[in-house]
Amino acid sequence: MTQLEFAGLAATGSLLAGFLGALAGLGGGVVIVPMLALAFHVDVHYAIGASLISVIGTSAGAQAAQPAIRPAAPSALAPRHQGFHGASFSNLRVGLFLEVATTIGAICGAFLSSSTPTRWIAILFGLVLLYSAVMSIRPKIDKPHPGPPDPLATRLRLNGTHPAELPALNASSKQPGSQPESAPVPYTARRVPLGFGLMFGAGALSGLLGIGSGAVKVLAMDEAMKLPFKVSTATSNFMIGVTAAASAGVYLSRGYIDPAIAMPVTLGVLVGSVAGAHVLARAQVHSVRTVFALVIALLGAEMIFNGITGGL
Amino acid sequence: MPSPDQNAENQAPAATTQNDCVPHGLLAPSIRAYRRTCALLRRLTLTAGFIILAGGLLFLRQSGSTPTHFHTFHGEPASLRHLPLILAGASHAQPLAIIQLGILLLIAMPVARVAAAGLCFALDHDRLYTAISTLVLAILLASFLGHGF
Repeated sequence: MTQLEFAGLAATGSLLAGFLGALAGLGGGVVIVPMLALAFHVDVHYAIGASLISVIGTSAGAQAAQPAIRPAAPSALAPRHQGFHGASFSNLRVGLFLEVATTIGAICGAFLSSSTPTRWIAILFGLVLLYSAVMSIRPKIDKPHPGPPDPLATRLRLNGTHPAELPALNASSKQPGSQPESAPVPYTARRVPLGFGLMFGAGALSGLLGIGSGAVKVLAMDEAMKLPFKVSTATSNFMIGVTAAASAGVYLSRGYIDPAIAMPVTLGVLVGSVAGAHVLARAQVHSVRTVFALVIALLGAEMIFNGITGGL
Repeated sequence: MPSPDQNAENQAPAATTQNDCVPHGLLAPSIRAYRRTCALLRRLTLTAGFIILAGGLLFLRQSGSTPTHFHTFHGEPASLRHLPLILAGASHAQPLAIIQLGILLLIAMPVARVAAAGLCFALDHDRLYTAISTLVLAILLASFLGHGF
């Protein structure tokens, strides 16, 4: 394959990955490594390097095209009069506090990646893909979490408010419709140490596999810290680029980042994800989400198979 | 399964023109500063994209017909691993160095965002989060400077 052919094919594949990834709310980064490794027979370390740069690009691009990119989560029943109020759902304090864990984790992961055999990376990657597939099709509904917030969360001022957009699901609360401009919704953070620990793991996976590991970040904030889904998704989007940047230094100095591979991949994913986010703002995408989850699960299975047989 | 909140999404562009990227956690003094930084980073991200594209087109014009050797890992040469050498290469219009420069600019975006957040917290006299932002920034810089960058 010549450089021109590779660039054309890789850019097209990355464009598609970025587009579908944005529609599915996963980010295209997660399919870049399997695509490069399985379809183009690119060495896994080069693939990881290119993927990491595309993750940083997608994160920066998502923030550059902010109005269009919303947390991809379908939330329950938002009537027309209760729209977004323009404020972001992300919580800067939660993001920065947890980034202490993700950046340290990412540097550890990036150091491990050169001493980890390719087949182990492939197997671990496959497992993360399978897990991401499950996470992407799981229903995203916030359950109320009664109980006091973590005292640590109060001391760190992690509790916050998010713009109101969910109407009350139970009839007992104040009548929807009477208040078109409803007040911000307060939320609290729970189990902060557990969330912090999981974030270290998310960072390590990001550094080891060159992915954003958004699915693990959302798990830490969603399931462990019990933050509302939109808050955890938006905050995770903010954190992904910072986490990836932490391992980029290690990757660069180890020679993982080949400009000839990273160029078509980064540009493709960037354009694809911005386009996907624009479509997402207008269309209903449940079938896409399911199809993408299936694709990811299949890729995950293939990565595990190749890892076990040593085919990569 | 509930349907996506299309209506809310449709309203978003109109509503988000003023405070599109302001996250929870900042106070009034710093919100304008944060918004301005967002606008600046937006332009820089676009610039990075164009640098990568320009370098890429130059690269494909010069060596588009050479075969690829991506199957085995060789590691990049020093000229594409260290900032001074990348800058030198880019100033001599070497296509791969130009791409790498654009990639470096892209990597700098999240780092700049953390620095901006730290400054905003400082404006708000939020000592705890100024310290946490500084810590994250220090970890990020250590990962670059610790590698003969």
